[in-house]
Amino acid sequence: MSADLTAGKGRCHGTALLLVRPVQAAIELGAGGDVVAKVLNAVHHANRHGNEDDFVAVALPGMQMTRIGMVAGHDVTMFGSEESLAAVLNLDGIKLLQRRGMVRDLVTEEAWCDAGSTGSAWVRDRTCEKYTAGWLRRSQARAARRGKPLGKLSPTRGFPTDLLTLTYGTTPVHLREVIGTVSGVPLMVSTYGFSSPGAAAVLPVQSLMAERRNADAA
Amino acid sequence: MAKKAPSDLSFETGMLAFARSLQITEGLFFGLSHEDDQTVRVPIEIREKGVRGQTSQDNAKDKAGLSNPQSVEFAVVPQGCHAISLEFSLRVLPMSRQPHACDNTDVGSAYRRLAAAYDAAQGYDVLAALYVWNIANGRFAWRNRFQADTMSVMVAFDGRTITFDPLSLGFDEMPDRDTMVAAITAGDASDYDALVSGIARGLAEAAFSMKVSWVANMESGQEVFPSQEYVRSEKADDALSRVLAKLPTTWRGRTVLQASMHSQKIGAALRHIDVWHDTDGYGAIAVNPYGGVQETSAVLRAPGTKKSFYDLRKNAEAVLTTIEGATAPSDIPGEIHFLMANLVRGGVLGKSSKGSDA
Repeated sequence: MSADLTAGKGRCHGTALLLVRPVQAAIELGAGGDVVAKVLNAVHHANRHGNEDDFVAVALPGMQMTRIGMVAGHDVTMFGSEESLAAVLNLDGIKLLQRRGMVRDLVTEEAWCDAGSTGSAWVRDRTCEKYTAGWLRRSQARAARRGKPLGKLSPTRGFPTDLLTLTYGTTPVHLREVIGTVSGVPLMVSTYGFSSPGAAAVLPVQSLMAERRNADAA
Repeated sequence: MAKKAPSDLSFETGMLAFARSLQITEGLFFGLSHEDDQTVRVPIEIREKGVRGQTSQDNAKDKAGLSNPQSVEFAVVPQGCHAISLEFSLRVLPMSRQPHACDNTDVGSAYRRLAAAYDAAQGYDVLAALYVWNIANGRFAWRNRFQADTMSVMVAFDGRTITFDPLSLGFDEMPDRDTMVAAITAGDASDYDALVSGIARGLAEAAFSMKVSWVANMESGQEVFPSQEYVRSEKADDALSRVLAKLPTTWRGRTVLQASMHSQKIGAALRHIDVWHDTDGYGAIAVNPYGGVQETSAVLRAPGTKKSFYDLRKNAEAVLTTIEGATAPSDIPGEIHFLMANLVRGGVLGKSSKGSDA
């Protein structure tokens, strides 16, 4: 890992938002997933090369459970400052999407993270990375290496079905959507643009899951 | 209830089928390289690789989240190649002029009247221009269409060759003739007109053939997206979780499995000419009786909308009156273009036996 790159969590100002939505033809021709992957990689790149005081957060408002499992949907909404979003817009990946006519017009808008309004947080959930067969094997090897007792091993756990698996290169990132209330405290997100379960950064986004939950409740 | 006598002016009968008017070959993928100042076409091979996935489908129970090693097929631009091409041939036939099979002579006659009047009003010219648009914009390359920054579509027919820049043509609305001509990078407006009239002639009179190739600059190793095979469960190979379309061919003395695009998939792209559905948020969609958009599961001409093929053809008398009164394409309403585009698509279009008059 390069020391020059930003790591860990950073603050997202949440004063501006940018919705990236593929054109209908890109979705119909099977390239909708390419758009989402390109945008997520651009955000990660921008945050890794950016300032930890000005991170970009990501919302996937169309994330939903389908027959084949959890899918990301086609829309990606980025939150940040006008400067941080401009930095993302300036990256090759985003320019490539525009050059190839894969996305609708990209317009940065003002965002209001008013405390009390409902929204959703997209949190990276790493619990599923524990108690897997590989994790148990590594734990045993580590304990043997250190000459320490491992203790009682729990059986492997099932994989929560409400998680979305994204892949950045060879790194899997498991996401969960948490519907909540915008709190007004600073939004802290990782370089991927997602928050953690302990400090969910609720973004003012009306997601598909929230809409469905409201419809079910009504 | 006594059955009604079949009307002279009806498009409905129990057994009715139209043969497809666009006969398309399987599309073949080639890598393009330079050898001795010659462009060499290298078949793009389908290969197999092992990946360590993770069981992630819903309700995976005790296997959920565990490693799921699997083998998948893939295709990439071959080493040494700087571009790829997707090539196919298209033969246009006048199969919409009359039913391929019909159990009612009056209904058969009504369809012949419809097609003849549509031809007289130059309706086939409108369909032909729309098909040319979908050839020129490279829609038939599907996901591959978005993997390159420079590309071209070359069409060879009747001793002529015309080349378009697909990136200057959109997918949502049919551009006007000037825009289509402006997208030509080799050839001229007369070639464009000849192509449109050739297809129109093929739909209305006699067979018309062309060869189409889409060429895009891509990097060696870049992924190519051929069709994916639907494998029935009884034929499924448990060791292979993604099967791509391929055809055997001989290349430099050995048999290789060349990546291909299903003819049906190319056909589905070319018939993205339903611009008459009148639904916001959608541009041209593939011509189908119910206007289904598979990728989004939307159905734009569901039975309740009264815009489906089956709903529109119920008004045989009104349709025939309108089309026989038309003297120019501008006189033809979109519903009739849609009806005829379905006949060009072909298929079994018989009336459901439930309540059938035939």
